[in-house]
Amino acid sequence: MTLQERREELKKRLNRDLLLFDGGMGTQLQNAGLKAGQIPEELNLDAPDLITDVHCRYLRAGADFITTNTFGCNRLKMAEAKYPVAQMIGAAIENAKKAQKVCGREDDSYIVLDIGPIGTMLKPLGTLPFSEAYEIIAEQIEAAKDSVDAVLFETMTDVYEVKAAILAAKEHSDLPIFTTMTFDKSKRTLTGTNVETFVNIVESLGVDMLGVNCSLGPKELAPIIEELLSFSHVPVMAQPNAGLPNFLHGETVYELTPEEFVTDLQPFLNGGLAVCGGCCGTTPDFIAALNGVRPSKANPRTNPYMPKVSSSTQTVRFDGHVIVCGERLNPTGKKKMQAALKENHLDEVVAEGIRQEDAGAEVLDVNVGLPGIDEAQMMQKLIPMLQEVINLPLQIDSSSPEALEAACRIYNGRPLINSVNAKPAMMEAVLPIVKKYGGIVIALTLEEEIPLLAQERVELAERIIDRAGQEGIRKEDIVVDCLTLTASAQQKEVAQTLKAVRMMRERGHHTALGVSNVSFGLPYRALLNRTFLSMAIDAGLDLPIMNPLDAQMMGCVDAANLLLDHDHDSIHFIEKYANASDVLTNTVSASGAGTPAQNGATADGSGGNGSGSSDFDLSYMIQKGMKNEVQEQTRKELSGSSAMTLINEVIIPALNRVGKDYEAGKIFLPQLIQAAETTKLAFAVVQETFQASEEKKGPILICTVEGDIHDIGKNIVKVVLESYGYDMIDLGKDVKAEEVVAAYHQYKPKMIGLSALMTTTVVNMQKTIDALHAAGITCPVWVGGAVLTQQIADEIGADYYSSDAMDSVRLLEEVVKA
Amino acid sequence: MSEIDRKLMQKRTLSYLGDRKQEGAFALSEEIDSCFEELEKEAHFLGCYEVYALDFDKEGFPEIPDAGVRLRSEDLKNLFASCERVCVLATTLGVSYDRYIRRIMNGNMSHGVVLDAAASAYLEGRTDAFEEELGLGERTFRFAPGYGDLDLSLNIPLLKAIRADKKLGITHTSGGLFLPQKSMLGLIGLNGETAHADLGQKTPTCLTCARREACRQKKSGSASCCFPEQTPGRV
Repeated sequence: MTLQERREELKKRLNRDLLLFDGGMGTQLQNAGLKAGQIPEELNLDAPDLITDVHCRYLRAGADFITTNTFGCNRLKMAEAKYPVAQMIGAAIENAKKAQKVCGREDDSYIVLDIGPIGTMLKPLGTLPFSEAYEIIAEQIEAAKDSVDAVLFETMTDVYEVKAAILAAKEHSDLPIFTTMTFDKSKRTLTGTNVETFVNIVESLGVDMLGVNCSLGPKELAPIIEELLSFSHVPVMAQPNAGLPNFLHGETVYELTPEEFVTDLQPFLNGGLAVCGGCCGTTPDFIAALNGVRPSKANPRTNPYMPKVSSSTQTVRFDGHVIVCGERLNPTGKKKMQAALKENHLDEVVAEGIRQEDAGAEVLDVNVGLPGIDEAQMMQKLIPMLQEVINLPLQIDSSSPEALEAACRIYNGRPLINSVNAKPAMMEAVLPIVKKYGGIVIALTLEEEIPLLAQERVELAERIIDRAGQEGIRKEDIVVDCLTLTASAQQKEVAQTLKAVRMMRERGHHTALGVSNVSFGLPYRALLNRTFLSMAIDAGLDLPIMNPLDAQMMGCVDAANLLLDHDHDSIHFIEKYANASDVLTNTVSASGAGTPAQNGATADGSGGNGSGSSDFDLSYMIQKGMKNEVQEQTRKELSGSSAMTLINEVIIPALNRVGKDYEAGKIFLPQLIQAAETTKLAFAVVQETFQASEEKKGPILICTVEGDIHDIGKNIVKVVLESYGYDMIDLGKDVKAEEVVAAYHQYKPKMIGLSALMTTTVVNMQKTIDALHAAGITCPVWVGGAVLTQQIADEIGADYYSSDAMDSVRLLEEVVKA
Repeated sequence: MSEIDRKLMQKRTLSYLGDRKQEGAFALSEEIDSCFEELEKEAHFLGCYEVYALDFDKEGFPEIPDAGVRLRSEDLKNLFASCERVCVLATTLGVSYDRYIRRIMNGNMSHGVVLDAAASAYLEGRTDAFEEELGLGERTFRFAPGYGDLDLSLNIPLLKAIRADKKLGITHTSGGLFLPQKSMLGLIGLNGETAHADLGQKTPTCLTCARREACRQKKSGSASCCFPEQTPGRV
């Protein structure tokens, strides 16, 4: 049998026969004398007989799969190993093959390439780029792809790393892919992924088997195994530990005997598992015990399919309830969003996303299509920034297949993809992307133009669904957009849209609509929008793409979900509206919902809301950090004086007083920042009255250097400088030297600020300064951070050092003015 | 959290905010309390530990043979002089906290700064409680790489030895920074007959601290900043 045939046969056996994996390798090696600090993967070459013997014992115990001794065999973890990664993997496979031969089990057992976690966290929470994680794993796959039967990604706690691993395996081999993660008692991984989300993501990426390993013993894992079995549509495997570890007489001892282990797993051997094995603390005795009781056939479950989209921590089901997709991350017709994208002020885009999440959106549309912007590049930059702080699944929105692919690749989760239409070229370009990244796609019912009649739109939808089927995309994974037309221009066709939604629903399809398109060019748009929304929901609309900050429309969705029995026992509705008056305000506050401390606190801790804005002047409000009232007061004071007078005679002196109090120890960092943030809000009003570019100081470039992810200090300096009117270009954290050089050429700043928190990253600060000098850039550089001193600043070639935010203000006032 | 723990955490938070004289206590106490509430909800505290036999090299520096780690530190030489074993302990608030603080910093930085300081105090408080539950008996106080003269880079082999990546999800950058960011690792000497003796004079102070030149708190006249409430030999 060729390797290819073996792999196909293996896939067929999964879910047909109940198969056994091996147990712990590390435990066996420690028992054989592996010393602390020794690298287990080196033993593949240094003690091949030992490794072969462990495999043999598992094969004799009845294991159908043996995993190679390559758990940590990647270039990061093996940096100090004496052999190259590929050599150790090759030797590990040879040892496994030898064991098969010795035991006479070449034909009825399988060798699985074992790949554990890379060992560091991926961006944006860590520093490892997704592309590098992919390369690290691709290297491991390349070393084994022609000599193993399958690959197992195990013990990973970050589903983003799992995605990189699956893509690497798919793009570098045709190996069957098994994926298990570890979960704790909360039924989440350490990075917050729940079981349903894990299943949704990896299943959509096309794994052949998924499951759980390590973590806990079989008894504690039972609820997790149960959930895996109830959500999965592919074979499920489990490799628990030998119970929970105890620390006895200086050694870690696992609590279960092989018999207890098997007893706890027994219900699942007959109840849906396709493969079972063991992890930490399990030995050949455990596998022999499993072998003694295993049924010959698996008893797989058949779960109904429901389309779902996921971020790494949340899953939204298309189960019939109305799902609000926030539409506001889109520059079309939004000047502020356009400026934020063009000027690289992406934190403002992120803030808009947070506002929509706080307002109750379940999915956020992300569109960055703007002349002069490289959409693919911008998507790859913005999506991780959004996903770092927003838990919602994203809807990737672009008319460019290149941008869609770039975004789907970097996206952490299972995306909604907006969109494909019935043009053959478009289907050809977009549908393979949907298939490859496991997305759910919105199908626009148009070809060259939007058909007027509902029936024609339904026919186009079916054409797309058929074509998607040829790519292997399930029809449930297509959400049909029947296209909202504008009532002012095509009044008669509004009803056709609703009719098409109804027809699609009757055919069992899910639907989307861009709701607010209906009211363009008419007065009182809010009324038209929410009326249309109600009618569309009644027709069967699943996914309104709308403004979640419109409280009236959100109310409409909440009421519909209650009335259609999706908000069971009205829990969500009562929670949200128990104290609502009959008349809702039209929009929620731009600052969104937050904790009382977030919204109400003022610099002096007085609460700030009590007396109304008219009792205090602008200067007082800045000093006391009264964010909620400051904009109204600024408008009032602007009516009596010019913008420049207000800045120079009120705002800056007020800020200076705050700075003095801070330095004198009368107020502390939170109050300083509150005053700075309040000033920013005042500035936003002042700037409405004049050309910002004429009066803004700067630009100033600022970032935290490569290798450092601590950016609170840098952010504080940024906001305080912004309050003094500086145009701050923030490159973020973990920024490479060459990115700083490139940003200099793009923005031509007046000064460059570099931040580093730890001594270990100060070296990268020097590297950045050296790179700037090597590029002939003479722009002054100032540095700061917890461990920095004037002396270190001098040593690394910085032009200036500042000890804190106010010191930076003083410095820039001197240097930039000069 | 008991009321006493909360007060201690409040005190530590103000201290981290630069307010060692606790003058902002009145203005900020409500906000700090709300931060603790947020942390109870948003953070995912986890801890793990291993106990190892201690050995000493010819020069008297302690080493942990079973972890393959040598502790070349004068401070630890003094602190662990009479200890037989060492507890290596790691704790974290998890990545859920990292996500949460970034979100707060994006929308409300002044609250984010208070939250960040409160999270450091909260992690210490939870770690203290975790440590007490272990019932370690006679022991030194907790000492961490980066304190005194103990090299920060020791975090890497120690994390690896106790498998904190697998158990808690703590990893590190190439420069040795913890991920998740609010994570800590400490060493506690155990079982020394005279573990309590003379530690008063051997407690690390600002004079031996790696951050002594840059520390704001030292500039403000504080005698010791990293160990504000650590009592030597606290059991």
